[in-house]
Amino acid sequence: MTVLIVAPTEREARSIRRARSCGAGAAARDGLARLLDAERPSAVLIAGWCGGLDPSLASGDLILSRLVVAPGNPELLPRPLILDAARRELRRRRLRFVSSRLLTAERPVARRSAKVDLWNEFGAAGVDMETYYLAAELEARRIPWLAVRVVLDPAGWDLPDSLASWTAEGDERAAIRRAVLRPWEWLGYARLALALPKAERSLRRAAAFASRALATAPVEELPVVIGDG
Amino acid sequence: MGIPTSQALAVATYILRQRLKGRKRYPLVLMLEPLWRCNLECAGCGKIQHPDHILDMRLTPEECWAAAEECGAPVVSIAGGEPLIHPEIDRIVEGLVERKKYVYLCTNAILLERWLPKLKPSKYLTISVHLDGLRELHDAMVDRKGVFDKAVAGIREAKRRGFRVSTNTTVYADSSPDQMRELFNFLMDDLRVDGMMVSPGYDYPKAPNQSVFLRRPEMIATFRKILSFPEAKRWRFFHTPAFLEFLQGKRAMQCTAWGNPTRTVLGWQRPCYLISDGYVKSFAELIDDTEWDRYGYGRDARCTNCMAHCGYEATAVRETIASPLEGIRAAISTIGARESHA
Repeated sequence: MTVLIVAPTEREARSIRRARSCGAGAAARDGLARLLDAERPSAVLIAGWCGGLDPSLASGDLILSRLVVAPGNPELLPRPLILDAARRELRRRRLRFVSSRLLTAERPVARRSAKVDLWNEFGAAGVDMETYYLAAELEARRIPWLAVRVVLDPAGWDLPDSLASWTAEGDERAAIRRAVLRPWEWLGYARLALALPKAERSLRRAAAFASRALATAPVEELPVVIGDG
Repeated sequence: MGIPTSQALAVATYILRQRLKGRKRYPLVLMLEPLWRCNLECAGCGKIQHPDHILDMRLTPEECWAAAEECGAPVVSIAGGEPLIHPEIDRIVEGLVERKKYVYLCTNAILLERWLPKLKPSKYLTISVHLDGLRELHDAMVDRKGVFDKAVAGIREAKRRGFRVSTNTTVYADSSPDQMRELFNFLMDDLRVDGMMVSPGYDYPKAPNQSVFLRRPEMIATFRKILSFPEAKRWRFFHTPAFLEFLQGKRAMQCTAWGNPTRTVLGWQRPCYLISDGYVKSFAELIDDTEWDRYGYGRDARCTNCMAHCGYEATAVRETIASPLEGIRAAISTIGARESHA
């Protein structure tokens, strides 16, 4: 089975090495559609970083999605045999991970208090801006998928304000330019910069093992399943 | 608010010792179920739906003491079933107190007055009486008239004899914030209990009445209302401030299932007091061979509507010990707790 690994930003894709970037936010769905048309993979691994909502997770901790949620939309589940194969593979490789829910939000969740509210409402271990859109496209095409995300900013961190309006990779430079004039945000950026290498390492290993599980898992023909599995 | 000072110090010392030893997972409260037989069939109980031959099984006092020693937790909560049905419950309690365990003897109090002469008051022993509301609500929840009056009489007699008495209240869909307010005022001002415990009901799939359970957002809304009453400041809960904030949705927490390991008549229950994925023979097997990361809010559908103290108070205690600021808050709240016994 040919597995395509997609990551939202170039930076995430680079840290995984074999991955292709599909873009950030809701636009990632169109980016993925183009990649699918061009490469026609038989399975897709969605990989990237996320904000932590589960307070027991630290920077670099891995979330294997057992269910993907987005406000106002039906829940999406990866196929159970694929999920089980990934769990087994990650366990065999002694990677610490949790198999939990992933939430997709429209913009970065910057404040700790907002993270608490989302945790209470959705019970998702992490929040990102793409997984749901990508999984929905894959479900529409009946392509098996799996999602792994690595926590960059844990539940207990506030993100710098200048990152709150981040919606695409091109916004990164603008955010940093804004941050230069806001010394009170430097500590937040420094913390993220320190967390980044660990998150990159974790993502690289997780993507390698999860894609292997995806490539070898038995494929079952299942309808889109909605509800808590 | 706050547990007795001596118990708080014992638990804090125990946790620091475990950390110094480099232990990643260590129990805080042993949930000891010496039997599952009960003399009530409460609407929200999922513990008593076993076949008769299992309901007839009991742990011996020696097995209970061995479990306490094997696990090493500083606190033992004797639950069930109804522990006071056990013919040797006085010996079980005495042996645990001798081992300097802080014992919470949980009971519906129907048989309490009969047992009180056989139990000795001690700073290590707290009689924890199950009360879900005032007369009408409580008797409806336990599905028998007269139980509330019996429990109140038992509490008064236990206090008269010098026992430390707490209550344990489960909040259900039928428990309005106003009813909880009346109950807690009654327990504090009239019965003058030493402390109260409170927890939302867990949605046991086997419970006789599934309509009594709250969903997580409803639990948070209910506890926000209950704990926003002006009198809430003087209600003395045997909980950390962190756990009470969690109940109100003001703080994110993940469950620490291994914090309250459960020993039952069938063995050590995996993974927690509320969910049963089988039983193992030893405590070491439970701790070492359970995939703990599989369980918790968001990770297992059975945990979705669980905010029970048997899972989250351990998290709150660990966070309290880990943070100097939280520790000071908890210490301030503990100062308010009376020491009934020297």
